[in-house]
Amino acid sequence: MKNRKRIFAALTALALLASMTSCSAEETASSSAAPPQQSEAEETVSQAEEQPVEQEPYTVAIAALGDASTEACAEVAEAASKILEEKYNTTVTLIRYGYLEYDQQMQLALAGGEKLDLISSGFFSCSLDSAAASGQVLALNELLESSSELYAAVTEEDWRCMQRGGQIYGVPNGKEHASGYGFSCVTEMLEQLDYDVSSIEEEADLEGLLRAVKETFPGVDPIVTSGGNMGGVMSYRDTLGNDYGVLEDCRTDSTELVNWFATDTYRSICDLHYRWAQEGLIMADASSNSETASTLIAAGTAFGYFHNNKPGIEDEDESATGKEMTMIPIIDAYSTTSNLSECWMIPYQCEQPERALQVLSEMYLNPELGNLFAYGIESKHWEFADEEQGLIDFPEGVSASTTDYSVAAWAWPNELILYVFGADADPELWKKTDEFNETAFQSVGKGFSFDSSSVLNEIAACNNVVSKYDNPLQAGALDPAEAIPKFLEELEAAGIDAIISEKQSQFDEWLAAQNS
Amino acid sequence: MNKTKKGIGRSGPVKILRYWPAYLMLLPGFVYLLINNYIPMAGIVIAFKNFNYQLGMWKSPWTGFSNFEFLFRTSDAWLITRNTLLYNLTFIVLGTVLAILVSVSLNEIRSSAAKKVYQTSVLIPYLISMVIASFLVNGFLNSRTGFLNKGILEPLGMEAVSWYSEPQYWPFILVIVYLWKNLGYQVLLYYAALISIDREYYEAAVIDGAGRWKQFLHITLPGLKTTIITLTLLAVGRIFYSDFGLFYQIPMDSGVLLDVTNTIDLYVYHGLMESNNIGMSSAAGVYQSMVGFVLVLLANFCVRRLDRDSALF
Amino acid sequence: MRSDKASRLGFHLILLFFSLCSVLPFLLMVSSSLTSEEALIRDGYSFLPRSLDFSSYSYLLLQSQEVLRGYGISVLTTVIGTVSGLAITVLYGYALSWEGLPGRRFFSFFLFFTMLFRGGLVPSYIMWTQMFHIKNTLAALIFPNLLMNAFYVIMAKTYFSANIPESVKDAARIDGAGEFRILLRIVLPMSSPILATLTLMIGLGYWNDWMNGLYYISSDKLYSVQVLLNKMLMNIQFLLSGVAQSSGIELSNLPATGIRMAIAVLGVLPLLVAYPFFQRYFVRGILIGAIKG
Repeated sequence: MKNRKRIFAALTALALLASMTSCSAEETASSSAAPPQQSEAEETVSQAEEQPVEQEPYTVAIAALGDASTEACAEVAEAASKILEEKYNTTVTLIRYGYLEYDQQMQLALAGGEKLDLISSGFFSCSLDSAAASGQVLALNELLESSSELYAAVTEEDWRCMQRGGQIYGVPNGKEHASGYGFSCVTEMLEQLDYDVSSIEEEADLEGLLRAVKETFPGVDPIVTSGGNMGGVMSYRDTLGNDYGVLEDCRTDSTELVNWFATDTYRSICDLHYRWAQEGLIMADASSNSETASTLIAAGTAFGYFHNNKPGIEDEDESATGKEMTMIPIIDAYSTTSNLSECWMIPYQCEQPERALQVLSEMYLNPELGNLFAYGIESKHWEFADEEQGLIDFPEGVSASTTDYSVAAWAWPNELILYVFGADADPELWKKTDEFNETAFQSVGKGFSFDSSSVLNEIAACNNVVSKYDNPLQAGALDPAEAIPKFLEELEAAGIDAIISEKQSQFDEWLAAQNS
Repeated sequence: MNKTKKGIGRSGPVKILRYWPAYLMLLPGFVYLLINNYIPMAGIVIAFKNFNYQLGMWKSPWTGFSNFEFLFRTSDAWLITRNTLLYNLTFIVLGTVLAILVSVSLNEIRSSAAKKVYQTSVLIPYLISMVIASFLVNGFLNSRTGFLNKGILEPLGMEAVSWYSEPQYWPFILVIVYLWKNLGYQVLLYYAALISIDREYYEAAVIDGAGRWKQFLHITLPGLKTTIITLTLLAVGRIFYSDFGLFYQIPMDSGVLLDVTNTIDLYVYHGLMESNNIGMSSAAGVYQSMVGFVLVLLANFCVRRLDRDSALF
Repeated sequence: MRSDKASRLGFHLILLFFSLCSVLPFLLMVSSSLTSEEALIRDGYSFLPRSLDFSSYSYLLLQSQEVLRGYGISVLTTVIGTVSGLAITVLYGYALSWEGLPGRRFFSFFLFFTMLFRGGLVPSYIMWTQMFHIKNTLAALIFPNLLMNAFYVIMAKTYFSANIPESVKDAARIDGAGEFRILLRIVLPMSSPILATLTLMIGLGYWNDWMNGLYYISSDKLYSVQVLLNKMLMNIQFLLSGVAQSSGIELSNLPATGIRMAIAVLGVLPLLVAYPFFQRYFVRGILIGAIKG
């Protein structure tokens, strides 16, 4: 007994020791970050735009999405520094991480207080929502006042989507800000069938085509999933951040939030897919598929798959599958807050946020710098395919799988000012994207974001229920008549009503504020 | 024997001085554990905080036990606990039995070339990552091209099975995959213990006319006792944990199977995937460790009463 | 004697069964790395490639420079890590096996406790990078987590307790040998089975590790083979996740099934070559010889 007491005493002492040592480390990190952000920001704000050259030298550390070698990043950073040094006396460093690891790398770098001044959002923990909620990034409202050009380049509506708790936390990537959905299929097979696709308006209208495919091409799955996901819900719902409490059809004026999984829309989609799966129109094992849809299409065992629709999508599909693809549009473009999830943010440890924003603004507005970051060094990572039209492509001997600076223009601040990648791409792509954004239907809920902090337990429980039912239902693997009632029952037990009512009250408040 | 040793020197400092080389030997390991394991344990406080990066680990506000709530306020709480426990118990029992079976077999055969081949072979799966393993398992189970359906059931004239949507098979599949992947490693441990049993015991037993089974019961098993107890105690300490790769990758995250594949780790993953709340995820870790800790203390206490030398501490 | 032969055959059959279970999937892996992508998807995996296709390996050959450098880093960290890890493991385990050592229970518990509670990645990361500044150094591949595993120490301790009689040590003490000398000259030579086992397990830990490389290394000059392979695998995992689809992101030309398998083969192969060399240490008899001689 005595022994054990001693052990615990020792452990407590140790924990204390540990707490002191790491505490000091924490403190230095946070103290160096917090104060200058306010004082210096205000001082330099007024001068920043008039006499940029007289600024102290500063290095902006940038983290971005996509694989790239250390060497290529260094080269790009060096070239970018040349441009920025002249103008702002600022140099940059660049690091890029693959899509799956990016968020965790950012989480560690942010927790460790490492030097970082500009980061791209990722797909998981490094989203605007969680970064703003956990204090990983700085509010930009005051800083943006000094950067009028950047502020003007983004629409008021889009800025609203970047707000969390009344503060702007990110600069949205200039790219398509809306999404339509449709069915993308192999053009060659479609032509062989000689099927009139112009009559297809709703998802259910695809049935005739799918049956024809099944009859004409044995061994070809009419619809496939990508890694078990159907690839898009053919509806006009606005999820307002998550599936719990949605606008069932955001084209109507209704502002009532409903349980998406209890809607008729959801039910009819599941019914349809279940019937299709029974008939063999959806691949077997659709919800546990271990391949991507593009791999299956490339291998010639699939006809098509659902996904989002936007300008240039057919070219994108072609480069992913290696086959000419036709997009059959089903859902017209509409825009919600979640269409603006990709953005750039300034992490809390940035010592001079105004300098970081200056660089971001330049990346957003200056095509020379934008192209450099997005595509790398000319003639090494890319070359002109058609200079007049602004089309570029990989140089001879380089391909998507061998380049050491991967292309992901959408992940950079503003792809709309860049060259268009791909020798056969549409030179008008960005112009069309602009039009697409302008003409897309705007959801009533666009700009609203849900603060889920009071219902985290319910969300965790509901997420688990959803991961059990949603995918298999959508892939047609479960009979909706049996599964949906059970699904709803479990959701209720998990507390979905609490989430919906919390969201509804926040939403009503937000709506009232918009109208006042 | 123990008593006499214990009795040797009760004279405090002198005794400690006599043992200085032992303390010197403990030093590097002690320092390493202190740094690598104990200092980061301070991070456990995150489980009790609403973690904010700008405030850091220490200044973030306390939230008491609210980060733990999501583990219990769910109708699945019982299911995930039951699954985690039952799988781990099965792994412990079957893993130990099979590992002993294989090690004993290895010990019994004479040809050293064969020994090498067998031993290398069973270790291969341990070297394959779970992601790759999940592709291989898919190669067997895929309902259209999979080996089981195409190579076995169809030629036998039986109906193909849609493996990824039939929960009833999965407890077996998961246990098989676990054993397949970890057997080699466990064999390594038991074989090492086995070959250090003194040969003379066996020779004496043979002279006494004891058969293989008797030798096994009276010499081999007692010789392996400490290893078995140690490994089991360690496994008990991790009994609330599950190999995420095994339960997530191998069933391809198929929702239909979730009733039989859901474990605490998987639940935490699905629940926090989007919010990525590090307070809540460390709360889950603290809970898992805490339960393991209590169980190990209990188990170790029992072992101590039955057989002092085999206890871990 | 006949029954002896029969039972030996039984043992062979048991081992054969388990070996086949282990080798066949590996064969599947090798065979699919040699099959063309289209054939894989159309017909599924098979134990013998229907037609040989080396495109997976030629794809990896394009990255041969990185792969070779990765092997170099892997070998280097495995060797340094295993030697130092073995040393501190054996020292701690040997000291723990010392009967009557004051504080022995404390040190055992101190060790065992580390297996139950872990601080988690974030606190470890903060400590290693801020207190020890190991980011982007070779040390980052050696120190965090892998150097000393409590479990291995317990194994070593158990072995020493069970197999090294106090009398042998006492005899040496009477001859005037120091404790470190006893360990080096008497105990270790009697311990080759456990040393071989520990070497193998610590070595496997280092060879298979990619977490340290992923978290603590951001310069590709220091990527080990496993980090390279896992980075590729992670891209595929991402593509298959719902996130990639729902965000409608174009990601083309990522390594496909055959290449995944080729990568996995490259990761396992060196160990299969190296492993048999260890096995001669798993020979009994050394032990008895040492005691008697």
